Amino acid sequence: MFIAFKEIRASLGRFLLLIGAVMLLVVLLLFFQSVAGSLTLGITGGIENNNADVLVFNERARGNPAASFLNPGSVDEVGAVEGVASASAVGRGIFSVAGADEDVVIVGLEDQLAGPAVVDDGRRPNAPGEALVSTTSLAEGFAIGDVLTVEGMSFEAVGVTDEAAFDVSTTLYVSYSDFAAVTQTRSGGQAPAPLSWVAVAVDDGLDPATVAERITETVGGIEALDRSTAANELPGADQITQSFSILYLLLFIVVTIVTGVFFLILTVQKQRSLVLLRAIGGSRWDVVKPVLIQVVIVVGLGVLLGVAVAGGLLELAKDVFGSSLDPRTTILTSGFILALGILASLGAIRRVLSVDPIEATTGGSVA
Amino acid sequence: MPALTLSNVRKVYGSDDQQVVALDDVDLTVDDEEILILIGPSGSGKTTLLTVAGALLRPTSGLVDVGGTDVTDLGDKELARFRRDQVGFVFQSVNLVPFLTAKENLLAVRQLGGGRIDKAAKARANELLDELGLADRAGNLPSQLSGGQKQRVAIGRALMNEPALVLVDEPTSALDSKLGRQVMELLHREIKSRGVSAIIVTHDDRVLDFGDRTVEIVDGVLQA
Repeated sequence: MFIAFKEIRASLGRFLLLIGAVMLLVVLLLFFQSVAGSLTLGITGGIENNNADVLVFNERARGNPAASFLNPGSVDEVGAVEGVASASAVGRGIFSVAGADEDVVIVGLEDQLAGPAVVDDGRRPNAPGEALVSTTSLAEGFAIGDVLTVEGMSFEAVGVTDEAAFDVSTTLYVSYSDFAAVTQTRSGGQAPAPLSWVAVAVDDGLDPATVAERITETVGGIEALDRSTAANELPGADQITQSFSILYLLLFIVVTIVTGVFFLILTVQKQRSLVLLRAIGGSRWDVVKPVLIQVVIVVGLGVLLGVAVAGGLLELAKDVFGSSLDPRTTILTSGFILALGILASLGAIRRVLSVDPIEATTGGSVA
Repeated sequence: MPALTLSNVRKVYGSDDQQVVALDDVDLTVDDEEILILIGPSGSGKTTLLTVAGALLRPTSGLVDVGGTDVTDLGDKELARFRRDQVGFVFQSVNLVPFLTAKENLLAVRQLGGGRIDKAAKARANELLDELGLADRAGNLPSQLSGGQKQRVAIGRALMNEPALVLVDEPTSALDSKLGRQVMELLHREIKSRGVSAIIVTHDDRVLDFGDRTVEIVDGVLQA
């Protein structure tokens, strides 16, 4: 500890620079992770946080709720499959809100239990003109009592649920009859309300994936997916995750290179000191330990400061990005960066271990 | 028991036809409390003898006994521990850790091998710096010290762990004659007052007065 701290004191500027660099990279990483998380949840939240165990789509929709249209008889066909406890119709459409730039997704539920699993505030709708509203972190928020007018119909928010939206848009969960009404109004009574998918609850104790497989095999022209698979197959979610993963990878690589090169240069610069310490009786551990301590201090401080700054920035920009730090992701990322820092210092440690104390005599040659 | 015994010590660098014999069947004994001055031309094997005696370098053959311990067959860890506990080094060029103050350079010795810098260590460092006339320079970094002061700090560091044998390589090579003499007087006084033995390697004739005995080495062979 003694030598490690004394060296930091003597080269405080350099160490502060590295702490700053690590902090900056951590801020970027956590910021991207939060925004990517919000974006992904804005796409998948409606499925991920749904009550249904299995969702049944038209097979040609390939798991895309927006592209799925089933014939009305599908609900009964699915309900008759062994292992299905209940099946209910769900309709979905995008509508313009009167007096607003933003469109909303309206999800009509034959059975309100096929809606979001959790109502965070208020209650589920149980009368015409009532809606359970889910906003994404990237869309404007709604409060209980707010009224939205869609195609001349007014919907009052009677409940609010977080992160159960579709298509990164404000989503209104209404009764199927309200959904049918608003759809018909928009089409001038020409088009019937679509059945987008069937929400299924499976019998107690059964595996939803197994039941989904059975439904797909039994009912023609449909594809049944358990909730988790359905969320993963939503178009766009994977692309976002992959795009951001490349950014994460680049940032992790930069953290590793910056830390590794810094400590390698530092080791080369203090080579003579290391030689001296080994010559006067220092063991290999005596000269490796300060490097490890410094890595942990520098990367650890950089991570702590990065978490604090990223948390502060996300809080300040909550109205813009609507994201906050996820504790689990933050802890995992922090631990991973610390591990990368230690890994990155292996080059420096290898060099430290190769120090030959004999070099203390005449700088390498003896006579 | 002698402080140091070298018996038939041979050190060869390189292999086959590239071999260089740095020490050729050297027999040498340094008694307790004796200061031995080792002289010889450049490339004669002085520093090799010093490094072999200080367990920095293993001989190709022969026996090295320091204070009753045969160091010839010790492993790397044991050699490091041995150097830390039994030998004090004052090197010619590499002597102080630049990011540690004068006092910290002394204290660093105590921390090696998992040791602790306790009150006794701090008192010892203060006492040594005081004796070396560096009490007011304890908080200075090496870059803030003159050549003579650096050499004195190195002497203090060599004595910090109360070694049985002090090995000094060209202590006056970088000093002018006045400073060189001052450093040698100090070194002599400190070594004698502590009753330890020392080998001082030098080119400098003025240093000869400070030894109990002078031995010359030429082409790796000690001269009678």
